[in-house]
Amino acid sequence: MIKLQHVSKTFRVGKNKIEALKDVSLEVNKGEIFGVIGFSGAGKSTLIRCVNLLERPTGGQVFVDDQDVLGLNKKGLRQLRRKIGMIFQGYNLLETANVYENVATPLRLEGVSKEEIKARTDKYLEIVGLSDRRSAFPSQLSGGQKQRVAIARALAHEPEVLLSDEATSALDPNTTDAILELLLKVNKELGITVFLITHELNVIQRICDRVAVMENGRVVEQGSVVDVFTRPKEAMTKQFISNEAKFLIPASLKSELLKSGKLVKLTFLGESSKDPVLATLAKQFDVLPSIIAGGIDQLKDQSVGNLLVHIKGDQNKVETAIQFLHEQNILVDEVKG
Amino acid sequence: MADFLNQWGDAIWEGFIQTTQMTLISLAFSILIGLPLGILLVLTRKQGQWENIVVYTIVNSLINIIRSIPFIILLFFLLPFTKFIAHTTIGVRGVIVPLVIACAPFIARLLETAMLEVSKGVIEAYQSMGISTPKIIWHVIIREARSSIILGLTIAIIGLIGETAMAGFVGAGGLGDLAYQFGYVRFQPDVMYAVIIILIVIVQIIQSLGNVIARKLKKS
Repeated sequence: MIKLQHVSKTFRVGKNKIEALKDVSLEVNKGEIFGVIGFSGAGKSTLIRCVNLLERPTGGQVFVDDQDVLGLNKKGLRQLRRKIGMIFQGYNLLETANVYENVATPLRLEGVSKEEIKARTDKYLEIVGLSDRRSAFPSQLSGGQKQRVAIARALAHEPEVLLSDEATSALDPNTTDAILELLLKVNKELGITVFLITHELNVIQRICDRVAVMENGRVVEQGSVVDVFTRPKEAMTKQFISNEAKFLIPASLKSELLKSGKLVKLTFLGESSKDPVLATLAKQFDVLPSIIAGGIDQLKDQSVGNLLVHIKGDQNKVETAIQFLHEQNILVDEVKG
Repeated sequence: MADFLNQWGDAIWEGFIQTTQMTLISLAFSILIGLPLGILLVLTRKQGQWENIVVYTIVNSLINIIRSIPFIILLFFLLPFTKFIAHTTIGVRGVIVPLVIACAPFIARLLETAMLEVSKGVIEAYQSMGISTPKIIWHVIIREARSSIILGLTIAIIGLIGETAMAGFVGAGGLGDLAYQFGYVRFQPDVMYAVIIILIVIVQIIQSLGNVIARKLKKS
C-alpha cells in the first residue's frame, strides 16, 4: 500500500545540513496497522510527512498504491492526497466552525454533492460517536473529542490509508485507549490501512501489527510487533522496551539472589504459557525455582507473559535446568549482575 | 442651542456627509488593494506556500516606505500622480487617491498580521486533504482570521477618519476641515467643540461595532 525506498531528507538551516532521514526503506501492507516508534528527533514526523509530500524527500522513492508519488503533478498530488487521510497531534480543526462544519467543509471545497456531504458527515460523526455534539465548537470539546472530529474529517473522504502523526500524544491514558480503540475499529470495520508514528510504546503494543524502530533518521529494526517485542535486537529497541520499567528490582536484592543461584527472565508467547514449566523444572532437575516478579503484556492479537525467576540448587543442575528452558518454546534471558 | 443649529446645522451635516464619503470610498479601494497585498505577504514570506524572497522584500519595503511618510506630506507629494489617476487634485475626488495610497499599505500590514495568527497546523491539514491554495486562503486562512481582520479594519477606518481632516487642504471639505476653517482660522470655538464631540461619538460607535462583530465572528 505504502512503499518507501531509500528515502532521505536533508534540511538546510543556514549553512548547516541536517539529515532528518537517512536511506529509509519500509513497506506498509494493505489492511494492516503499521507503527513507527522513536524518541523525538528521530525523524518519524518527517518520515510520515514524506508519504503525502507535506515534506518532499531529497532522495529515494515513495509509492502509494503502486503510484510513484514524486512523479505526480500538482493536480495528481491533490487527487492522491484525497485517498490519504491524516490526523495530527494538534487536531488542527477550524476554530470558527462547529463539529459538523469541520467535517463537511473539506468535502464542500472538493465539490462533493450536497446530499453526499450530509450523508457522509452524519455517517462518520456516528462512527466516531459525536452525533450529539454536531453543533459544538472545538473550544467546547475535550482533547479526545477534538481528535474524534479530526478522525471523522479524515474518514469522510473515504480514504484507503490513514496517516496518524502522534495522534494520541497529547491525550491522557484513558482517552488514548479510547482513541486507539477507534483506530482499531476503523482498521477492522472499514478496512482502512493505518500508518502511525508515536513515541509511546503502549500505542504500538495495543494496535499495531508491525513496527519499525527509528533512531537518528534511520530505521534500526523492523518486523512483527511480537517479534520485535520479545526478541529486540537493537540497543535502541531494548531501551524503549525497558523504559516501561520491567522488573526493576532493587540492586541489593539482585546481588543477594545472584549469590545463591541464577536469575532468568522468561518470556512466554501465546500457547507456551500453558505448560507447567516451573513445576517440571523442580521435579525433573532437582532445583528450586521461585518467582521474583511477573506480568502480562497485551499485544494486539497475542498476550506475552514475562517472569523473573530465581533458580537455586547445585550449579550443574541449575545449568542443565536452564538448558532445558532454552529447548522449550520460551525465550530465556539470563540476568547478570 | 437652537440658534447654533440653525446657523451651523447644514454646514455640519454637509461636513459629515463628505467625511463619510471620503472614508467609505477610500476604505473600499484600500481593502481592494490591501487585501491582495496582505495575502501576497503571507504567501511569499519564508516558509509560506509560495515562498519568494524577491517579491516579499519588494512588497514589504514598499509598504514600509509609504507608511513612513506623514499623510499631509504624501498628499502634496502625490499631486501629479493624483492628477494623472483622478484627473483632478481637488474636492472629494481629488483626495481619494492619496487616502487610498496611505491606507492600503496599512490595511495590508494589519491583514498580514491577522492572517499570520492562523495556526499552521490547520493550513497543513487542509493541504493534506488535497485542497488547493486559493481555496485554503479564502476558506481557511481568511475565515479563521476574520475576527482579527475586523478589528484591524476598525483601526484602519478610525485612522482614515483622522486623515480626512487634512483633506481640507485640497478643498475636499469634511468635518475636520470645518473645525479647522471656522473653529481655528475664524476663531469660533463652539464649531470646533461641536465637531470634536461628533467625531468622538463616531469613533466610539465604530470601535464598539467593530468589537461586537469581531466577538460574534470568533464564536466559541
